[in-house]
Amino acid sequence: MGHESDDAQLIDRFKKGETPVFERLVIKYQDRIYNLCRHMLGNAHDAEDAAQDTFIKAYRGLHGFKPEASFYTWLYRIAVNTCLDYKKRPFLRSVLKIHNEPDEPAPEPASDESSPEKLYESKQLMLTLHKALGMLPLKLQAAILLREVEGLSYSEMAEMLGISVGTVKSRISRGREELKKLMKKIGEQK
Amino acid sequence: MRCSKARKLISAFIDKELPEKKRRRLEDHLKVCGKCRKASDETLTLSGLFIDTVRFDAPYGFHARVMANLNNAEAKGFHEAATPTRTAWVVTLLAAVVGGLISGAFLANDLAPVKTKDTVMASLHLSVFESAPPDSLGRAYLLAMEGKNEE
Repeated sequence: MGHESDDAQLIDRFKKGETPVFERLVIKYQDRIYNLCRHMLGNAHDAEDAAQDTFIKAYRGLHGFKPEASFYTWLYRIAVNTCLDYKKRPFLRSVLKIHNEPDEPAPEPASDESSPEKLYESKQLMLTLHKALGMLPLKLQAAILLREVEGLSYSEMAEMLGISVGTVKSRISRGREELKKLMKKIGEQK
Repeated sequence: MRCSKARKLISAFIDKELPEKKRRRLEDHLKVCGKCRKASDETLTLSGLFIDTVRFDAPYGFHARVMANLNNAEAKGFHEAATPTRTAWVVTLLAAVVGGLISGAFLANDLAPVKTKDTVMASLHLSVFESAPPDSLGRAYLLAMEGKNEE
């Protein structure tokens, strides 16, 4: 998460009227924000929309951003909240579908295994994980993704989500236990 | 350490987020408790699955589209307009429904007046079959002629 001083300098220039420097922040964080949105929303279309919205909201709110805070965690917080809103948005989906299921199949695992059987097992496992992740309550899903995919520490997540470290610990612990149960259940259904 | 407490610490232990003292106590517990050790192994395995998760890069031209959207919005003079809240939408919808019901009630009364016994009886009165019913042009003509004759 380094280069926070670089971010601070860019933000300072932005606040002084050099608004085009915002593009450098977009280029710097676009992959991480898009990756988070993609994992939370499960499809490329929604992920791009959510990631675009995230940067637009950041642009609009940047003048009020406090320099002592971390731009990175602030941006992530916007992204998480945007994705949570996207997931809540489709009324019918929330009524008719109990769990948010991804519209696209799970991505191929980044595995070095060459054996077809191992590749198949690995892919099935990833499909199950992907499906179970989509079935988690939104807050638990966000906590798991920020920890497992983005590799954030508990304190970073606490700052990002505006919650205590204790709550972060609880959500990750509950999220993992719930994931295990869901994966076993999905596995038994096959 | 009890198993109930140990289970709650396993996630933080795997993430190396436990304070030193708690970490040692949990490690001591895991050495002697097979069930908690199994739970810890399962959690570790689960966490390990995410290592194979693909990382997605932003699609080609993403930052250009962001900047284009921002430039378009600035050109149109975007401002910090308040986004209607869900409550505002619900209130607006309810007001529209209630307004529609009230309007509909008024319209229904105007177009289809309530038929009472009196109005039905009035419509069947024999005077409607007279050659010059009270409200007719014929009666008005006759009255006018009577008035002339008297003069």
